[in-house]
Amino acid sequence: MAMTPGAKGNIRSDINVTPLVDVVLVLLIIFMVVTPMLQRGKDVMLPQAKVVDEDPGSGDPLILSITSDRRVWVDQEPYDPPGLERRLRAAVAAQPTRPFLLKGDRRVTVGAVRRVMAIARKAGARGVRIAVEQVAGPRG
Amino acid sequence: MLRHGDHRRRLGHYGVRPQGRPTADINVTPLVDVVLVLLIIFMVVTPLLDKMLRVRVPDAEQAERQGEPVPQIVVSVGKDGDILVNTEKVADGDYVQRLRRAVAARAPGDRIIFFAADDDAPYQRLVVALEGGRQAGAEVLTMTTEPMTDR
Repeated sequence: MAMTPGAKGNIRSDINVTPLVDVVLVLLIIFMVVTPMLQRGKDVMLPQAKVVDEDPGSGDPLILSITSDRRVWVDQEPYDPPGLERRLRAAVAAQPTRPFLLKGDRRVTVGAVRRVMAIARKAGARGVRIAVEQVAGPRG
Repeated sequence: MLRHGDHRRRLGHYGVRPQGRPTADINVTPLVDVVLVLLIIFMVVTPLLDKMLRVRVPDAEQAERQGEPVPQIVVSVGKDGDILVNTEKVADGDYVQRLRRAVAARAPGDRIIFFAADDDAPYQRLVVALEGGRQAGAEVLTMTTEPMTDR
């Protein structure tokens, strides 16, 4: 401070931090909202589709994931077939209209997916939603 | 001082003049900051959100009881991922057209497509088949959950 010229050496206590605070708060809020959405289910490579259904918005879905090693997860917990059926039965009983979102890895075969669908049907689900990754571009 | 007083008196005479003056200097920087950040974050996040296809899983016993008085549209996916419409193999390029004709022949409200896939077929091919069904205008996509038997 002693070496700087007097005019610059003045203490400036009036830096306007309002824009900074605005931006940081918005970032914080958005990440708070978005992070739980991105963490839902396991990380899988979803099959690709160009045409997808509109979200009918009938509530927060229960996320079923099938990873490439064919293991089945509800949210972040692994389940074997009997355990999965109990889990889904409980979910249907708790909230009959809650949709199931099935996130199957695109590298698995249909059998793994079909078995999970069969369990969902046995547990009382009328349908499932198949999670896909939407890709742009013309068909072909 | 005198001049200053004059100035105030003059403004007072016109009354609204200080407010009516164009204010070109509103600070929009914070607004722009926030909006840009929002924009960028939504651009990044939107492709990551879950997109989906809705598929019905029917009660198999019920479907059997009803019988099939009217031939249904059945799309099968074979072991190697080939797609068959009513046991007739179709190329990917013709698939949606072929299905669209079949769907249009059915009454609105009854535009259901049944899907069956070999357990060894790649899952991605099933999704291609389902997506084509949606493109063809099917109202309901139904996936059989029984293992597909060779026919």
